Amino acid sequence: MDLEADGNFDSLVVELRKFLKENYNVASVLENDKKQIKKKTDNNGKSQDWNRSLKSRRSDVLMIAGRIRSGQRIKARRHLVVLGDVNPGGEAMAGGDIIVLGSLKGKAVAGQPDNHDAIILALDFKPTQVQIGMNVAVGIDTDAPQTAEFARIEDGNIVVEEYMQSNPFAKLHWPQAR
Amino acid sequence: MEGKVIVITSGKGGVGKTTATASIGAALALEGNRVVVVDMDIGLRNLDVVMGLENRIVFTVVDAVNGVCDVKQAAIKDRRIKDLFLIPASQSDNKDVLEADGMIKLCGELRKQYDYIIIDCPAGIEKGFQNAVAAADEALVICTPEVSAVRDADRIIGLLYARSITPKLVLNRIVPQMVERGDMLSHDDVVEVLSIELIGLVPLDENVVVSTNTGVPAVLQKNSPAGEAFQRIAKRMNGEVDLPIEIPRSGRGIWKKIARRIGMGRKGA
Repeated sequence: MDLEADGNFDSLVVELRKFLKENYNVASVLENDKKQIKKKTDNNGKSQDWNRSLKSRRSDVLMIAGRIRSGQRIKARRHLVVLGDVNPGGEAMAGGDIIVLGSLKGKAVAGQPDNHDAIILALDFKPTQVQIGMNVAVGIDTDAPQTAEFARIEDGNIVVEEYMQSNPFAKLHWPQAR
Repeated sequence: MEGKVIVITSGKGGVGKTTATASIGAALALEGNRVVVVDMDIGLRNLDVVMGLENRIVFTVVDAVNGVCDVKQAAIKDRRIKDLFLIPASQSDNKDVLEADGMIKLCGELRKQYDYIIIDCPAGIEKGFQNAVAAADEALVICTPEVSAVRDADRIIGLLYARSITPKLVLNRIVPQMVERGDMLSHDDVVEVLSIELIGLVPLDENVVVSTNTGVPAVLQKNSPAGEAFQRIAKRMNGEVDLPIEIPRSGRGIWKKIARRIGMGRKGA
């Protein structure tokens, strides 16, 4: 059985039902009453609810320290955090976000294969090419000062902004797992 | 004491590996060590020409590995420098003719007879490179201050680290005037990207062209800045690790500096 993170919950239930029926002679498998769960999350996030939801959520983050050199390719299933630089010719790939705590001078491919909410953030944002989901953008050669910038998708295009100035996550009301 | 095997590599072709091998080998021999330089560019041999020994080739490194001759017969003694030997490559084979095991065995033999074994690695990352680094203890990466060379050097450094060999950097063909104008990468830019220990800076020198054509190693030429730089690199490799790295500067003497300060002389002279 292939256990993915969230998203495949329905197919997981179907698999479990089949497994239990075939192997353990179970008569019937009932799901939790979905209506009840929905009601709770419709509230304005009372503290015991998001605490509980954070506890059961996993956020797969591959955290690596070091320099990604030319010709090297680091691939993460979900999110990727690089404590170091990505040299030109090096590639960082992720199913979710890519956060580079250093210079991004190589290629960053986030949100694979089709997650358009992914972001690519770097403390020194100078990539040769970025890709989020299916959108590709070419890096521009600037002598811009070293500020933390990030790339995200807006209206189908990739936009790059300074992170502290236009932090999109500052508007969220409570902590959510990504 | 067992000899040390040092491979001189770069990834990119034409950056000065063969020149560096000849010069550093000659400089180490002048310091009193027993040195053998091995040409691993099978099929495109150049080290023999650069050292001026091409007329005396009887056996090659392929013969030595395959047991056709023994190591003493393949090593050609240099007539100008004491205790400097060359094992040339074969010109009629190509890089697929050797295997890594053969190289490891050969280097084992060489370690017993020489203090330093300097291996001239061919360009690329395929079999030629893999054979050359198979038995290496240390590596010198030669790089020029060009974006393409830095990109290839970065790749080679990644491959060397994957084999647990710690490389050191030699930056070759620096033109100080271009660096000052901003037209050429400075050594700080290159070291920032490659992030390995810098062991020497070598300026662009016309004497090197003359030396490779005439077969006289640059360290034997008089007044060759590149030759002097290679000599300092050899000293650092030989134990004088505290020798400071000299940054090539454009030849503006002290009088020109004074003249500029008081407003005499042409601007930008």
